[in-house]
Amino acid sequence: MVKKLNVKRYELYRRAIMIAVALLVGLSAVTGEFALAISSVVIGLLILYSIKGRVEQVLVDERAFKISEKASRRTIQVVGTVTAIVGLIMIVLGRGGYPALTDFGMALTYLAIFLLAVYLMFYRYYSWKFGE
Amino acid sequence: MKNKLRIYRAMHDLTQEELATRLGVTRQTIIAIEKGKYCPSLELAFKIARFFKARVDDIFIPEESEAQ
Repeated sequence: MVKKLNVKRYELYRRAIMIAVALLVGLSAVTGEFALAISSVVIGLLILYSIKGRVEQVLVDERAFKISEKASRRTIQVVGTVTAIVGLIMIVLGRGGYPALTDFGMALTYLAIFLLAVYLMFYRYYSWKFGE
Repeated sequence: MKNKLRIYRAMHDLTQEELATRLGVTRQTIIAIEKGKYCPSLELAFKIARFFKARVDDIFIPEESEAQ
């Protein structure tokens, strides 16, 4: 019989696992043992996944999804706008005597275009899914 | 959107935690609905109404500006 967990105990375990993984990743960065970093992250994720299934109460519900939707929308707006503006400023500065900035500006601008393209693709998909 | 969820919960002598478990949502969602900070989906509103054997509009009351 698998012992069930309540949310408080799950949160406690989750934090302990995250701290342990962070410590192991830090240790591996110092010692150069990258296999330790990868294996600790994978094992940590597996343990988290296994204990998540034993939680009695609901962890994610419609309110959490709604918060996530709003946060994603704001993130797209902020990151897309800032990336595009900073990218264009870098390109302009690059042409005004700082050529090293042009590549960085181009990369940021392409990133903004890619972000917009992915957003539009998912927007069209969900428009179709929800009956447009 | 105003609601009487707190009243119905008290009438049935349930804690927020117990109601959340029965409805399959988190306690934070029950708190947010009771405070009027979150409007539940139609699905959850009907689930709440069915749970309390009431009608949706017995529990959830649209504000004047929303109703027009």
